[in-house]
Amino acid sequence: MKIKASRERKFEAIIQIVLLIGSIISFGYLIRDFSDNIVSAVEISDSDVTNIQNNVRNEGQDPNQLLNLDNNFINRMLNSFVPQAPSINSGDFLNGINSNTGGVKVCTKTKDNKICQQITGNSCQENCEGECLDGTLKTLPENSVCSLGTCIDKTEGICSSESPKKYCEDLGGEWKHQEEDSIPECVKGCCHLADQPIFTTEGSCKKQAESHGLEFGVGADFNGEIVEEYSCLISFEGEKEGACVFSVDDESKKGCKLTTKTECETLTERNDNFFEDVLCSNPDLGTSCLRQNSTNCIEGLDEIYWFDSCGNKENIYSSITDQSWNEGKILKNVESCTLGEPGDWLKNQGICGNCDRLQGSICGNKTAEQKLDDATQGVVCLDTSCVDDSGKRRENGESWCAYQSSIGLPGPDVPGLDSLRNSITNPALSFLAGARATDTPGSLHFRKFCNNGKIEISACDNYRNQICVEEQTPKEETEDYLSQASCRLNRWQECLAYNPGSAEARLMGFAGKNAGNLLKAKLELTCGLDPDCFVKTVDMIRDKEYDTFKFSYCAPRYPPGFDMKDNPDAANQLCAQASQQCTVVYVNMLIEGWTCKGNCECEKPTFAKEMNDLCTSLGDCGSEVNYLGNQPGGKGYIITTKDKKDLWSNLGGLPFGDLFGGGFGIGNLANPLDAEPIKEEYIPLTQPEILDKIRHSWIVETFGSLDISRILSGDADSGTPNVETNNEKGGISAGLIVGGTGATALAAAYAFPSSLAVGGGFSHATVIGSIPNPALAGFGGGALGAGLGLAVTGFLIKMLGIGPGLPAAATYALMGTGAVAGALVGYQYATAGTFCAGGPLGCMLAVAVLLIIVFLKILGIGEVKEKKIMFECRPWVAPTGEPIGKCEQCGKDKLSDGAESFPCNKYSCQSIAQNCKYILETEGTAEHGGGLCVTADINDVSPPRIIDVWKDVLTTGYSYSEKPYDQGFSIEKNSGGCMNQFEQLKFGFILDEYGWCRISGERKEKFEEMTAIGGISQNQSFVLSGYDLSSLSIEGLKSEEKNDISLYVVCEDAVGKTNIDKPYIINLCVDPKDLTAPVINNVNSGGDVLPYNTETQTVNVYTDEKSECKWSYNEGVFGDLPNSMTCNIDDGDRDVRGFECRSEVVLQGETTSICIKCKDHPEWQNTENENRRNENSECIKIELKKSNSELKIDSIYPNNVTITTGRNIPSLTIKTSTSGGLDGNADCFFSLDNSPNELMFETGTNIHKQILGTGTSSLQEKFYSLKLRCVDKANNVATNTTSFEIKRDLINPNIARIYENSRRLYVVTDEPSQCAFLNKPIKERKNACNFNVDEALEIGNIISIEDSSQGYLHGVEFDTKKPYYLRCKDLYGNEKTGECDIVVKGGFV
Amino acid sequence: MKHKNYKENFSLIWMNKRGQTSIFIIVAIVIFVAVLLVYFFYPNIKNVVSGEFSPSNEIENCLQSDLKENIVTLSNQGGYLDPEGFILYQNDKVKYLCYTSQYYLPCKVQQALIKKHFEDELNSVLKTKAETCISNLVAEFKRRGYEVSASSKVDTKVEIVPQRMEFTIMAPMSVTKENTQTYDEFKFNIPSEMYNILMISTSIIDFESTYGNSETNLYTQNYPNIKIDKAELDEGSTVYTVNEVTTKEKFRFASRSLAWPGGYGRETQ
Repeated sequence: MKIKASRERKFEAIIQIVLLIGSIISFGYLIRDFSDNIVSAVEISDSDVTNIQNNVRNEGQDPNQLLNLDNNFINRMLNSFVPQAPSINSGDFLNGINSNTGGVKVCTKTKDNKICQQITGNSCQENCEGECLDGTLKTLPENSVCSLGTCIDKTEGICSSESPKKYCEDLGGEWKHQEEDSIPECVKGCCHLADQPIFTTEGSCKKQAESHGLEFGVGADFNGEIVEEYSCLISFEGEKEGACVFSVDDESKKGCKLTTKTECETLTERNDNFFEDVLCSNPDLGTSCLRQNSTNCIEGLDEIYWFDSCGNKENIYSSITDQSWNEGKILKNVESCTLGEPGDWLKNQGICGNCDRLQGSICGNKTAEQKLDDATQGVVCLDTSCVDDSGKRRENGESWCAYQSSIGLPGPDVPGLDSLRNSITNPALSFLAGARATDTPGSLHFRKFCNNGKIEISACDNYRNQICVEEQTPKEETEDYLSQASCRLNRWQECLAYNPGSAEARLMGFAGKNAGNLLKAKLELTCGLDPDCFVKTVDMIRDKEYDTFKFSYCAPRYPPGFDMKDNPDAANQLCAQASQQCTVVYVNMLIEGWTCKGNCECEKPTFAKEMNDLCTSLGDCGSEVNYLGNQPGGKGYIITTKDKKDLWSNLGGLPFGDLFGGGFGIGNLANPLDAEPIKEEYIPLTQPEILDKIRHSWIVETFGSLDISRILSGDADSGTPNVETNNEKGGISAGLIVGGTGATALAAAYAFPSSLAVGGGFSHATVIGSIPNPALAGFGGGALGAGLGLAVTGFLIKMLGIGPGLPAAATYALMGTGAVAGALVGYQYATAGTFCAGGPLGCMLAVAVLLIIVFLKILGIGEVKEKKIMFECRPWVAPTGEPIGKCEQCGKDKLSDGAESFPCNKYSCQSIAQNCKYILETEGTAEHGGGLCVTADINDVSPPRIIDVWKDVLTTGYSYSEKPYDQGFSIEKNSGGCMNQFEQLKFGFILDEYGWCRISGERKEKFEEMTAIGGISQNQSFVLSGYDLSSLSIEGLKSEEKNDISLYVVCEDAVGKTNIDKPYIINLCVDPKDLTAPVINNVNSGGDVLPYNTETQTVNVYTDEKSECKWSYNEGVFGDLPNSMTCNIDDGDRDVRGFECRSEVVLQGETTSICIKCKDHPEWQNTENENRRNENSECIKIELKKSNSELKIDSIYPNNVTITTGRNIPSLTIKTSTSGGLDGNADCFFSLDNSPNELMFETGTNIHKQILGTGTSSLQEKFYSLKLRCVDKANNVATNTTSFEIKRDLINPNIARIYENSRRLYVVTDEPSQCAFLNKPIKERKNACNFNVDEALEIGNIISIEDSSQGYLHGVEFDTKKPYYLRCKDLYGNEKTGECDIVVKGGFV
Repeated sequence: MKHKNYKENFSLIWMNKRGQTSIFIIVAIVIFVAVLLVYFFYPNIKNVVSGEFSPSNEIENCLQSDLKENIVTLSNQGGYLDPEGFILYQNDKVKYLCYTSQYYLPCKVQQALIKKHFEDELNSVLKTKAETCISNLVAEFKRRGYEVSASSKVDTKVEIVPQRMEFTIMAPMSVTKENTQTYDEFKFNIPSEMYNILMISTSIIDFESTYGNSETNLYTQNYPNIKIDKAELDEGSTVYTVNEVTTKEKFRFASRSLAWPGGYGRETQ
């Protein structure tokens, strides 16, 4: 026995040791595995996210690494977190970056002419015209053509950041691979340039000073310490002004100009004429300027100013004139009158001119409502504020947000307080708790701006990629506030990134049923603090013991929209994130039969609503009204069981009465209230920056350490099996760790009833191993037997799985019976040594229990069934079948600020109905510059059809033809006549669809070539002007006759279908009535002044229509004019000037006046229509004036002369003068030996000159005939011909006689000459005669001409002792060569 | 009797010493004023009478309309006469001065030194037209009987400075009639606030390339004469029009920066 016991114990011990060792190894493995996951989780949260952000922002990472990292991260995050979601790779999030792109390259120039663009390697060939460089823009080497840096314009001192290198240097810029802020020459400061501050660089300051003619450092300076633009602009008061007094010669008083001292010194060139801070009208100055003569505005200044009588600015206007004049001294703005006070800035609008644009007023011309009390003044401080549509005053420059629908979360939507909101757990209060994003499909955010009294509106980016944010600051001393709004990016993508990846989710899974709370806590501290996100918690737990479907998810607070028409599939992937599965657990109960025990809420409409809330919060997904409050055109989601049975009707159709007291069917899940704009709601402008690195890492670290500690402290005992189960099931996400996995755990729990809860089997086994030996005592056998009976019963119930179906009482009864049976059997065995021999009761009971258990098993009691409910979130679908006109409502809806309209945009339009089409170009028909939304049937293949005429617009007195209008229609005059050119005919027609139409008087091949009728509309109208039929290409109409015309109308619908091939034809007739006399458009009477000798002159007139014309020297009626003109009356005779009539007029004296009159329709002459002809009542007077005298050529040079020259013939200037004619001036032409057709060099006046013989046209020795022709502006012509001869003199002069008289030597030459002499040879010349006259003249040895008129007699002092070597040359330079003319020595020749 | 009195009165006036003095003073004033008028306005009178010929004016008249027309075109098209890489906006090809084809990223500058480029473009117009105008001027000189000696090479320069645009045509020539006049260059200005407009545009592009977006209200508040229209178009493009409200000048350019796709999952370009 001892040995046996020892063996059992040994065996037990060995088993325990094996288990212990196995447990240690297993535990160690698990710890290792979890540690890896923890590290991974930390990296994902910290480095992965940061890296992605950095990559997005800086592009500085290796592309392949980037791609791999992103793929891994996002795939891990999404694929495992949301098992039902289709695989979403990083490309969808980072747009275009995926693992198959060929990496990131930089294209130096794309085929669409963009420079230095990052593209994928695979698209280089297709998209890049230049070179494809490896790497990203940030990683390019510094010397790369596309390397980004700062481009500096050294000349101007201007810097441009983020500039590609090559394109900077090509323009002569200096490129630096540094940020602009770190380059000293790019740092901006305050430049004081003369009297104005400019915020710019020092280099630019110098350049601008130069262009203003200022010396840098004197008239201009730079302050680099002022680094804010506004501070710069207000920092400089400018040079002080004052009176600059100057003398005015013809006035007793002085003049004055209000200016600066510098300018005054320049103006007066003195430095004692400037009186600082003194007005020109100050009587002490003694100027002529009188004070406060007028008021006016000054460009660039806000206030109203007085002006003195000299036009100088004075002080700011005030009705208290003396106060404003300030005893003739300049009064500062702050010391001037006060326009208003907080709350009423225009209180003193009637008496004060101290306007201030920052307080909503500026000087401007008075209006009926706004004016000064002094009615003589024409200006006033105009109110620049606006009143918005809700009646609220908005200051000038104030901007605010307006919304098309409810935005953000319903109820008390206070961003950053999601944890508070989520503390409200009752789903009935979910409206208050803000459990969903309410921005509706089609709704945008708008920014409104008050600009000088006018409200401007601009839409934030389409598809809510931007949201309008607004900051309200209290106004001074009022309860009102000032709004500043702007459109900023909606960072909705980042909300999705807050949700954990698979590793992090698995880690959280160790918390078991607490995993949901852990996830929620994490999201509340991250997502919940992000102003663009909120934590959506789907909580289906009603029975804390059995329900498990609960998870949290970070969703956008302002969900993005989609391009539902052009890219309908785009939303699938995002919406699918809200596709979830809930496992409902049923148990076959002993009495009730199959009964739902777990996640029962998932079969109620609450589940549909909660899941739809998540679905709609992700974007334009799910069931939701559009921004107009209209129900969607599709389900938006589908709820099915595992066998794909659609539960739409039997689940979605369930009433929500229990929760909301009303019939909330699925269709009604869309809350129309969401479409109501929320007044006064705004998103604060200043929010803490999301994804702050420190905060993010802190959260991750905190959670990481928490989980590690939890795992190490033993919490993993309960968590591990669940995680293992999850993994085995294929990586169910963290969200469903609680839902799906929880359901599995739940099923297990039912397999082991509460007393044997999860892990109970293991515990139970431990209990068995721990029971003391029953053989120790007599009653011990009974006790042991009871225990064994209890255990065996329990084991059987567990093994056979009937426990879940048993009520507690039944379980207790069975187990109690089993225990009793065991006790009896044990007691019998302990006392008698046999099991049943001592009495059969125990054994009977045991058998009975066994049979009951088997029987229950046969009945299927305790069986568990899982029912999987699938919620599939789908993209939102625009309403279908909206009535005609619904689309056209786009832009005519209310905004949150009370406005009745907004610029219709593509997104809003397409959300109204599926058959809405957005049209941007609407020829100015849309309000606010937005587009137009029209109903369009994309299946429509026919152009717009005229279905009716528009009777309301038809001009009175006309009527349309009757239907049908398939081909067009006719318009007739009720009186039976035709439209004439003095009429305007308005007509219209109605199309069967929206379209725009064009019209023409002739068939055109292209729609664009026709004249636009108007904007896009079903009702089209056009005004046909009889005056301007030619603009429709209607030409050649015969007047006074019926002309049938056809107008061709082509219409185009919203999908571009036109009837250009078969235009509608509108027939009507026109009868241009001629009620006007001919108009003489052009007269040709030979010029203003006629030539002197003109006797007759042809006069031509041109009329606008065929006419009969007459003329006379005297005025008279047409019929009395004696002289008829010859007129062209054929259509083909008309030229651009009109129809010509001409006549020869005999001139009478110097001036002849004639009167011309015309009469139209010459073809009606002497017919019955004679009286319908129109004649001129007034004369066309023509004055024919002759020149006063004949044009004459008065003088000519040369005129019949012989011009003698030397060997070289010089140039010759011919001159002539004119007189007479028009005014004596004329243009003269000349020629030599030809007809005179060359304009003289200098002519046009009465003196005319021409140089001959210059350049290559040298004159010859010959006889010339000179012909002149002069013409004046009256066409007087004068001609003359003369001649001259050019001769050359090539003969040397001779000395005819030489003699001495009174000690003077006289030389007589045979022609006028110049003579000179030498007394001795020129140095270094042997021959004394080897000189020429000029050389001798140079040394002064001139022999003076004694007879200046002739030049023959020459004389010089005569020294008989000296020799005289004489030479002479004539006027043309002829002289002997190398010999003297004569030599006188010793007084002898 | 009456006749006699009239005669007497008349002779009294003439004979009266004070009357004579008055008449002399009036005549003197008239002569003085006439002399003053001739003195001060003689050049103008001379111009009117003789139609004095000013080569600089001729050049300016010849060029001005063309330049103004091209300035408008340049202003509407981002400083380019024939832009490449543009967006069609209100029938104008508006040049992208900053562009990225990607989403989420700030744009890359497509044209640094926009003022210089504006000047270069305008200069190309000026040079082409200036050659014609110089030829016309030479012809006009010749028609007036001058002998002209002109360089065949014409250089031009455009400079945009605060408050004006300066145009210089460097076409040395000498003309001779009675005496010789030499012209090295012809200069003229067009009043313009384009300098400020381009500086503000540069600043906007800086914002676009650095931060991805530009808050234009700041400019409007700091510079009351400036009005900036910002049209945000589809696909993330923005067309800026910087207006100078007093001179009505403007400069328009496009940017595509920090574009976000239209809703999740829109196709990238």
